Parts: sequence; structure tokens; C-alpha cells
Amino acid sequence: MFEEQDQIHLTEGQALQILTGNAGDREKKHLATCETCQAEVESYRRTLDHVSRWAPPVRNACYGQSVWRQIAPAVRLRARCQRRRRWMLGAGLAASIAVFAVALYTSHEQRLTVPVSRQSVAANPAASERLLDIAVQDHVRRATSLLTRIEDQPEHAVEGFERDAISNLVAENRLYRQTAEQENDRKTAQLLSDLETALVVLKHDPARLPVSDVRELRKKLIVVGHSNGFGFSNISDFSDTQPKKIPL
Amino acid sequence: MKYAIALLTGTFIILSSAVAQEAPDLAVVAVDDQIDQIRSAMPVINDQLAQLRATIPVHIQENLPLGLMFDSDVISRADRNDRDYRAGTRAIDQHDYEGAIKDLEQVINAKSKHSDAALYWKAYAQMKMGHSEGALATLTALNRLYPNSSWLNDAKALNAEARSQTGHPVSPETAADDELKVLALNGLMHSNPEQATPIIEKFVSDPKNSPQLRERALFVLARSSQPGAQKTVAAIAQGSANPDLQAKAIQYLAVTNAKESSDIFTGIYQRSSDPQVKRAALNALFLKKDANALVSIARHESNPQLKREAVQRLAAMKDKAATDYMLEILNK
Repeated sequence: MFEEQDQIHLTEGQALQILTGNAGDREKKHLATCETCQAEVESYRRTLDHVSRWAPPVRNACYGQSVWRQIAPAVRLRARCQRRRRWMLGAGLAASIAVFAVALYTSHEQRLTVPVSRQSVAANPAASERLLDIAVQDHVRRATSLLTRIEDQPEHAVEGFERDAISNLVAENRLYRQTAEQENDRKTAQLLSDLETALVVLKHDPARLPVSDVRELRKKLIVVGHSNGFGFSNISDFSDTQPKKIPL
Repeated sequence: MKYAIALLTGTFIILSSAVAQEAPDLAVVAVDDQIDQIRSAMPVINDQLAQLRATIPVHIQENLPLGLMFDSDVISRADRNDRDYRAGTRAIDQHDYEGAIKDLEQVINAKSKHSDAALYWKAYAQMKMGHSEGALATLTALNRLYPNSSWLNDAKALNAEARSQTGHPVSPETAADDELKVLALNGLMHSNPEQATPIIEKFVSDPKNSPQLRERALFVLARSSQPGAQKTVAAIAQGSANPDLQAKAIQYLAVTNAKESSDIFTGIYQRSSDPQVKRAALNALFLKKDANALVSIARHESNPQLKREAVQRLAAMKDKAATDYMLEILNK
């Protein structure tokens, strides 16, 4: 892109490649000499740093009381209804005991017949979470890099090696999404689910994915990934999975 | 010349229609491909057709073959299918699964070029809505109606997921391919790690499996807290058969095994000549907060790039050994 016209500035995608450490030599060379692009890249960096500083809002001290105030009338109403129906309590209690007895028996039978063990995940949930985080972080970074490259291509042209890379990302994505679902990590599961639909479309028909969708998804990955620690942050940037020439 | 273009185009349509009667599956795709090509040339062709018609007496126009009447009807059908398919997939993006199914069913019923893809996405939407049985039925239809579809591989993964939701997960032994096998083993690792661990250990250690598959399997294995699993991960981290896999193993070992001494990573760093593996060992030492080991590496490393990376990690650590070393560098 810079062979003939060095005055052409970096695209948004290339600016983000600079930030993710995936830019080529020509982009870096151009950035070193172009103040406009330096300012642009700096503004992206500031935005990302700003986003990463957002923390979830802290509940104020009266939060519990305010919730109680809102639900109290309904609870009191239900209590009145319950007093009126106290005569039903005896029958209800008997039914409950019967249901409980059946449930207890069933669960006991299951324990006897299916020796389910959750030792692996439950024994060290923190380690399992960290493992998923670190794997997803690397995965999201590579997906972002891929989307950035494809976004810059006319008609989302996908080359042979990228097609293989997309297939690999789809398979990897399924594994991590399944794991996030198993661990009840809904936020990560949702992020990966959204990414999966886009990757599957890209795998089959890249031209069908509108440019705006690629851009939106990539931005979402950067912002959500960054705030979750899945994106490129200070420490994770020197992960051992540094992008190679073809980082996928 | 103008007449020739129009007539040739018409002939294409007629021939394709004839093929469609013999092999409907393939012909639908072939016709739709031609429609795509024709559509881009439609403005010119329409002009020429209009000129052509103007020169033909009305009683002859009424007897024109179907191929010359294609301009509006066939093209609008293709456009409609395309629009419905886009609307369906967009609805999925927006998590409007009910709306997606409505749009996609139009495409499925039209038996157009996108019908196989529409069946896949319909099953996907059904899964998201928790209708696993419906999704399985849709995937069966995809398999039956489009046995050569490029969507079948993805459909297999979706099928495995739907079966898992219905309480009948695919077992690793019967998984259709290695990718599904890894997914099945991940499921089994969650429910029965004792059974899953030895199978996945063999899978990771088998050099016949592709590096990508082994990396995924390594992730599944690293989740297991079975003693054998951690030993296998440690063995791969210290091996040198595949630097990519080794680097991953080092990363996973550092994250999952809090009790593991950092000596193992210092040893890996010293023995390896691969920069990627060395970098992974540096990260592991950083995660282990072993500033002394990093200082020692930084002092003795002759490769300036790796030395810089060791110092970068020390700079991010709150440790007296790290701070002292930084001051030492500054005072030089």
C-alpha cells in the first residue's frame, strides 16, 4: 500500500494492527514518519485505555434497603393471601413430602448407577477459569487480527491459508464456548457465540458478511475483549503466543 | 450481436431447467450461479431484450420460449431468496431467533442456492431457543436433501451439541471426526474426568494428530486435575518435539499448577533454543512471580531481544530483587 504513495495514511484496520503488534514493516515505517497517523493511533490507544478503566458500578450502601422497599408491598400482599389459604397448608405439605421423597430416591438411584465426578473442574475452579481466560484471550486476539485483515481486503477476499485459519478458529471457538457454558461463564459464552456466527459465515462465504458487520464485530471484540482482559493489554501483550508472520 | 447475447443467455436458462428435471439438487445450485452472473449483466440485457421484442410481431412474442421471458420473474425470485437469507442471518446476529426461523424457512422452501445454509442456521436458531429435538430434525433434513453441501461438517458439530442438550451426548469413540472427538472429550472431561483423561492423554501425545488438534486437546487435558494429566502437560512442556505445543503447555502449566516450582520453567528456558519457547518460559516465571529467576536470566542472556523481554517483565513486578536489578541497570 505504501510502495507508490507514502502520503496515503493508515487505514483504521492498519492503525489497530499497530496497536495489536501485528502491523507490517511498511505500516511501522509510515507511522514513524507520519504525524497524522501517530495522532490517530494515539487516539485509539487512549480510547482503549479509557474503556479498560471502566469498572462495574459499585452498589451504594442503601442498595439492599431500596430493593426491599420496592418489593415489600408485593411480599406483604402475598403474605395476606397465604394467611387466607392456610387451610391448604396441610395438603400442600403432604404433597411436598411425597415429591421430596421421590426426588431423594431418584437422586440416590442416580448416584448409585452413574458415578458422575466433577473433580476436574470443581477441584480447582480458579485454575480452570484462568486457563479458559488465557486461551480465550489468545483466541480473541487472533480472531481480531483476522477480521482486521479481512476488513481491509476488497470483497473480503480470503486467501487459502486464511481459509484454513478460519476453519481452525471456528473449531477452537466451539471448544472454548462449550467450556465457558460448562463453567457458567455466560459473558464469555455470549462473546464466543457471537464470534462463532461471524466466523462460520466467513468460512463459507466471506463476501456475504457485510463490511459494516466485520467492522462492528471487530470493534466489539476489541472493546469487550479489552474490558474482560481478553484483548491486548500490557501484560498479556507479551504472551508466549506472539503472532508470527501468519498469526493464525 | 445483441440478439446473440440475449439468446445465449436464454439458452443457458433453458438448458439449466432441463438439467434441473434430471438432477434437482445440483441444478438448483447451477441455475442460481447463472442467475448471479446474469443479474450483474441485467441492465444491458434488459435493454437489448426490449429492442428485440419491439422488432418481433405480437403473435410471435406470445409463443417465445420460456428462456426469453426470464428477465423479471427468475431474477426477482433469486433476489427474494437472497434478501430472506440475509434477513435470517442478521436476525441471528441480533439474537432474534424466532424471526430468523421465519425468514430462513422461506429460503428453505424455495430450494435455492442458500437452502442448505438456511437449514444450518435454522437448526442453530432452534438450538439457541432450546429446541434441540427440532434442531436435530432440521439437521437430518440438511443431510438428506443436500448430501454434498459444504455445510455438513459444521452441521455435524451442531448435531453433537444438540444431542448433548437432549441428554444423549456423542461418545468420543463414535465421534465422526477428530474435531468432534475433542469436543466430546471436553464434555466427558466435565462429567467424568477419570474416564476422559487417559483418552485425551493419548490423543495429545500422538504425533499423527495435527498440531492444531493437539493444541485443542492439550487445553482439555490441562483442565483436568487428575495427577496423570498434569504430568503429561509437564512432559510436553519439557519436550521439544513441537515448539508451538510446548509453548502452550508451558503457558497452561504456569496458569493451572500453583504448586509447581518455577525451577521447571528455568530449566526449560536454559535447555531450549527456540525463542517462542523461551518467551513462554519467561511468561511462566513472571506468572510465578519469580523475580530472582528472571534477574538471573536477564544477567546471563546474550540475545539482546530476549534480555529486553526479561527486563520488561521485571519492570512490571513489585519485588525487591526486580527493583534492585532495575536500579543496577540505571546506574551503569
